Amino acid sequence: MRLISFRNPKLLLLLLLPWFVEDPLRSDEAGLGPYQMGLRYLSQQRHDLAEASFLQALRDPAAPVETHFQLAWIYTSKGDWKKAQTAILQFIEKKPGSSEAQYILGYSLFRQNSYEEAVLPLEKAITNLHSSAEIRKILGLCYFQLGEKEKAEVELKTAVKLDPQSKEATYFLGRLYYTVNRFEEAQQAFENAIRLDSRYIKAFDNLGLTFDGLGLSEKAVEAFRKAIELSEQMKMDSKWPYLNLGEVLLKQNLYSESIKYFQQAVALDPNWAKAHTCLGKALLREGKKEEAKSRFLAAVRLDPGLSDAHYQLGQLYRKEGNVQAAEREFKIFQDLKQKSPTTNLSAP
Amino acid sequence: MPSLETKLGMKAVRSLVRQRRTPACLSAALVSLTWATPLFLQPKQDPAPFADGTTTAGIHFVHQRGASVKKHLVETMGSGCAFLDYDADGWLDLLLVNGGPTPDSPTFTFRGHALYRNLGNGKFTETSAKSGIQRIGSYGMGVAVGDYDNDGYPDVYITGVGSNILYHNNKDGTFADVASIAGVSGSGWSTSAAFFDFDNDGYLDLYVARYVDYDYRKTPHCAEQNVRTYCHPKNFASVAGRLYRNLGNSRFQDVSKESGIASLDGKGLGVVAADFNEDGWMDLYLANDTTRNVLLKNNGNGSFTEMTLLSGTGYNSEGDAEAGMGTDAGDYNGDGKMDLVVTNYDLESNALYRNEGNWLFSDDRWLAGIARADHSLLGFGTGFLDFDNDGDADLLVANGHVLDNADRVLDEIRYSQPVQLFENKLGRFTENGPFQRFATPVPRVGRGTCFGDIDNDGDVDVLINNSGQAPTLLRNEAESGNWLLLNLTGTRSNRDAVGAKVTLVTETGSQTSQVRGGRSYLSASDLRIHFGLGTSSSVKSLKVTWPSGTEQTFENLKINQILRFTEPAVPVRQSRQ
Repeated sequence: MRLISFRNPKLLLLLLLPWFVEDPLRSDEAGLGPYQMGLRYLSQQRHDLAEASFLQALRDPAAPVETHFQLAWIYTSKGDWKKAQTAILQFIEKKPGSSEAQYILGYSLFRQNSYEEAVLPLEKAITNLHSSAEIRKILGLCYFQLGEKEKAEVELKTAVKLDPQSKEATYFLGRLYYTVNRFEEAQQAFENAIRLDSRYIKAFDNLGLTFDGLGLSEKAVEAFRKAIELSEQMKMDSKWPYLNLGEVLLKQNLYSESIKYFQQAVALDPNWAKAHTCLGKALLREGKKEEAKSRFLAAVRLDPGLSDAHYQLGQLYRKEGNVQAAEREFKIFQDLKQKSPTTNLSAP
Repeated sequence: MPSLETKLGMKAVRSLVRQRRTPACLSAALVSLTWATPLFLQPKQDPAPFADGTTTAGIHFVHQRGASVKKHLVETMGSGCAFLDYDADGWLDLLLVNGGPTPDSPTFTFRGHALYRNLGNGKFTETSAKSGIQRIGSYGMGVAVGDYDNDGYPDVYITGVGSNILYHNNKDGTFADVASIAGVSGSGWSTSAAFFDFDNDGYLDLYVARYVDYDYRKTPHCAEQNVRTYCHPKNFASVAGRLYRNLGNSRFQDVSKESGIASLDGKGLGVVAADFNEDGWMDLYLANDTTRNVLLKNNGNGSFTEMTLLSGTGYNSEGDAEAGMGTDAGDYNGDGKMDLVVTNYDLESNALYRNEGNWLFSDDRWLAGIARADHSLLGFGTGFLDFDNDGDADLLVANGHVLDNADRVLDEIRYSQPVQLFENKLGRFTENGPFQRFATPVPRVGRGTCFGDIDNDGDVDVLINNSGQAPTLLRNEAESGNWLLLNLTGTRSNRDAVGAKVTLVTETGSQTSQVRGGRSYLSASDLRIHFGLGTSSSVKSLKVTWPSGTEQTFENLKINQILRFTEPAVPVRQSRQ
């Protein structure tokens, strides 16, 4: 599970709406120029036609500078973050004081995982749009990814304060607390997120992880089961609750039951190396060495960089007496460990 | 034999019967019967198997850690303790290592280490000043005890940050610092140490674990939630431990390089020396903080081979290195092989590696149940002990966080934490309830922990050196089974018989133990081998395999006694190949 899964820039749309309403060049008359045509298509959600019109408008050196802004918006809604960045930079060159443009720039950089670069435009956007919970949230997530957890906490808490109904900001605040092992605060945040949306699968899943961190395994199982129930009801196919539940059950030595959930995780995502590894571990505990081996082999094939899978495979080879193969796997394991030491930012 | 619960129940009934004879008490009894569950129907609570005997024993030591605003990492580590019979009178004395000031500590009177002589009547008297062991050297960390010159009196090695001290026992209650002459002063930040005879030449060698490369002047500023805290060990480079070979003339030679020890990377805190593959050569296991733990096979030729990865004892089951603190070896599942326990950081879990033989270990922490205990606890000192003399190895873990401001900066994690006692029930561990009720209300910052029978009553007592606090002497008061305590004296082997293996057979089965080197965290325990015998009324046979390879077998031994066995001067049977 990736930490950030911001897919619904509704607020962005609201943020940009004034541009459509207040555009001085907007016209409903026939014989419109390419810029006006672009606006019309845009209002009709016909993004490809709008893009073509705006690009045509830009052939004219006298085209309104807002054309770049409109293009950036189209690219943002399409998820083409690189193009959005280029277009909005062209707009900012002419109108550097636009907070909305700074937000689009920051957001497009954030979506390209350029967290460090995203911070400055987002901070500039806050200067004028200080009441925006959404910007605070994105800025908080940037800080989180940069490992600046204290700054991340400030921004996410502000986001929640500005918009107490923002389930995402509340959820991410919980994630932050979970990552730094502040489980009681994490529990509170996830429970708040669930109060805002009783069908919030991720919040239930992370509540389960939090309970596990608190050593409350029964409550963890309950939360994971709820996440699974919702996922099945909503046909969301969320794979993480299955894996997390399997791991808690494995710790309780409930091998058969954990295998069942790991198998479901694999069924939902057959290319998920971690799930294959977990399934292999559970099978190994049940004494099914050959089946376990095939899972570990699948895991290293799917993700050769997954050190855990190499470690498990090495252990299994060693127990089979195949020292050469074991040493080969341990060598890969050690090389991978040296390349990327464990970091708690990679938590689900 | 009626259980304690039954006895208490009968006592309660008798108490009620007696009350009914007088009207005044009758009304009280009626109230009791009307409004509350009658005493004899209430669930009975067994008494705790240990009692805090620190004050009654006359121990007034308080550990000094020299906490400073600079938050030097060493201030978090605590110090060790030792059980040793330094005056050879048959009663275990005790030694508590003190920390000390750092260059940035506020001014205070540092009282040095404390040696207490066991008077044999349940009391101890401090003899530090007379013994000369109180001498203040570097910041005090760990202690190892061993008769390195085979003169019949235990010598003491104290580690620290900077240099270490070897105290030679003068046999008159005093000690002399001979570290420089012996060549074991060391350098850097030394932690746990272990005397063991790695080359089986009859003289105890010395392994010294070392932690990180630390410079008081260059400590970084680390913070949690804007509050200055102690830095994570990742901020400092690791340093390799040292192995000193005893030359037999009261001199040691640093053989770290030729043995392979010098090339090992790790932030060493705990060490235990035991023979894991039963080939007669003592191996080493090192608990490292945030770097992989290390298992070393003794090649029998002066060198070691690392078996960490092949054995599966370096990481947890996810392949992650943990924050290893203390460690011990013992046979918890009764298969005759030395298993391993390692204490770890909070939110990790303590590790239990079951020895399957042929250098294969299985991480059974979840299967055996020790990982299911409280995740908020941070373990340091640990050891296998049969506290209830029922014939299996139980576990004790001393806990305490490293952050003295944990209560402020961490959720649900406290600086002072309770000791845990895990009872072995057929290879599965559960926390002993009565002990939990006893220990939970009096949490401490537990660190060095040592084990030994201080009153020679056949059960194992425990001493914990708490960081910045008074120590805890846990006097064993368990309702326990029969026992046997073996005092082994080597002649051709090292005199302490470190490395000796004993297998004992009773009508209920067999048990195996070894005289181990090191153990726990920064500490040294009683070298006598203790066996709990449960209800067994005799020992059918007992085999001692001495480090020299000599084997001796004894039959039909009486129980509940301390036995002294001396190695025959002439080999009885050579079993080593």
